[in-house]
Amino acid sequence: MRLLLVEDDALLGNGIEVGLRQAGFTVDWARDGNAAQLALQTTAYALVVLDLGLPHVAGMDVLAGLRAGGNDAPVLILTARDLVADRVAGLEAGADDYLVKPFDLVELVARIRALLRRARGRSVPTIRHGALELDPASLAVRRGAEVIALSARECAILVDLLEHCGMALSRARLEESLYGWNEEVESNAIEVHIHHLRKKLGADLIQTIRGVGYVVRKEPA
Amino acid sequence: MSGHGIRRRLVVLLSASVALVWAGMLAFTWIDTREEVAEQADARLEEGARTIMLLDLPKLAALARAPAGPDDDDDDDDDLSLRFQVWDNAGVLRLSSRGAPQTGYRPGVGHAMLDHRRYAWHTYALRDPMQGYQVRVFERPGVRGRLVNQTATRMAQVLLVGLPVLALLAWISIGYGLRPLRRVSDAIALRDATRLDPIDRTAIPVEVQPLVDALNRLLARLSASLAHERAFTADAAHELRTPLAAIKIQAEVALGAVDEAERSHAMRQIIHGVNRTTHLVRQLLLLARLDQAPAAPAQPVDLARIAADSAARFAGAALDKGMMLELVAGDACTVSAEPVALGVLVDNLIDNAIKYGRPGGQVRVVVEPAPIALAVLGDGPAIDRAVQARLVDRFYRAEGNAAEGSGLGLSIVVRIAQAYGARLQLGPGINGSGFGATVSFE
Repeated sequence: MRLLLVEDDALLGNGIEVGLRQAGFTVDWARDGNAAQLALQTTAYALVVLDLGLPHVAGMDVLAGLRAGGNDAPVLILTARDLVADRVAGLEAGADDYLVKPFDLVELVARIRALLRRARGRSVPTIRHGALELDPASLAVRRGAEVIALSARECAILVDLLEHCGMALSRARLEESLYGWNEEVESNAIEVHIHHLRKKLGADLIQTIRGVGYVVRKEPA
Repeated sequence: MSGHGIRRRLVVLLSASVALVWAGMLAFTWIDTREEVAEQADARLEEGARTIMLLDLPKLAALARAPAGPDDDDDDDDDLSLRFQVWDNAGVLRLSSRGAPQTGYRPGVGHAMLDHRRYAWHTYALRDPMQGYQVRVFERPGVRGRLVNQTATRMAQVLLVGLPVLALLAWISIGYGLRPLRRVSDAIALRDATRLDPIDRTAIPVEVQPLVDALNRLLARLSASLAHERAFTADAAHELRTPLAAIKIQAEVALGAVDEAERSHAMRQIIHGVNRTTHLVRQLLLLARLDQAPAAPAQPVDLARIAADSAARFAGAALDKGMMLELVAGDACTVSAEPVALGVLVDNLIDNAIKYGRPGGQVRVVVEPAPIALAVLGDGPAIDRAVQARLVDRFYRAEGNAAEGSGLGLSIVVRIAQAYGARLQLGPGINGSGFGATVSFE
């Protein structure tokens, strides 16, 4: 799950980046409004974490540009100002949620998960598929009484595939949502993750479509 | 209350003025009355003398023997009875009425004063041209004075009763007249510390309007300074939120770290965050102190020495960034300031120059002897004019710089410079490129 973090403060940005990565997200960190706009034009992000007090281009302008460009990725605003007027202005401009500094990392992660879930049209935190129940927050798959632990990236791939049931996702597409700007991607990384998922969950859940990518079939109705 | 003061003053001044005018009037009336009374009394004496002249001696003898009036001995009421003497040609007293003084013969006629037994008698004498008798009429001593005094006393009594009545009326009407002033003072008294809107001046008399206008101007200034203070407090709180958020997040990252490198990195970030917050708090406190307290008393300080000390403190920071820090100062350069505050000023300028200068660049600290000025120049990125103007605003930080700062440094410099009559100017840095700050002393 690839997120864009737009934060000018080095210390806070670093903390959020590492924290979100710990939670299993892929994070690109833009340090000002210009970089953010550039990133948003070139990459499809699942969600944007946006600080309102930015140099060059103000956070609100980034948000306005994003919405004007037809991008409907969820946007979570970070703000130091807790006046109702500030928050209302953010929400009115198209933000989906806001957090007032200082905030808890766990709350930030929980709100990001909730926003992502809602964006995918789900209202429960877990994803069900047949006998499987995936809980992205705890990186675990439940099959009956059995609990199978996943790594953050395995989980992210599985969420992506389950949310696009019946649709093949290319290796490039999966890589993009899995790896940030400054991360080295080994050529067979996705294959390795798929291999591990098949070993943990059974070989027939994820199927390979040659030349296209990977797919999880829709549950028989 | 000032209302009472004005009221009392007005009543006293008014009463005193009225009393003075009345006293003048009284004196004038007294003089006037005295003349009037004298004229009347003289006329009466003349008339009395002429009446007696008409009578022959035997009739006069009968008149002289007759009692002067029913209360002959009463000094007050026999004023109007005639007292007279009749002298013949030889100066022999032929007749003397009761009550007439036993004076000797005086040949003259007309009005005269005769002293007799400590009393001064008004007299009038006529001579009968046919028989040669002299008739002298007397008026009892003190009659005129008594008449004048009675008139004056009656007038004074009226005035003495009138003055308190006037004072009372003045007191009441001044109180009534000052009511608008009372309304203004009530309007002010009703206010608490949070109400700083202007006082309504529509129903206020013109005499009080300058006062109310001055008060309104003071209120406006107070309200502006309060608003500025509130904005500063709010800004300060918000400025603290970002580093606090960073510290908190880094702590959570440290707790959730999977390996030792990640944990220790987060821990170092926490320490860094605390240092940054400490710096911000220190700058805030410094600024708050500069805002509140009057400036510490100025004394002669060697600017070159302060600049050298300050440059020495930042030598390490400059080396860390690979920068060349250079001090250009000649002989002692005495300015009038407070050494610690001046040190803070120079520190902030050098700190900024190093923080926002380019790695491997130069920072030049120049102390100019005439006119005395301190310049801290860098060769880093230039700052355009519009941004320069905003640099001295509190919490304003130029865009696109990666260095961390409180955004208060130049505000502090400006504040200290103002306190000691110096001026901060921003402009180009070394050889016209980069950025520089100059503080000129007068």
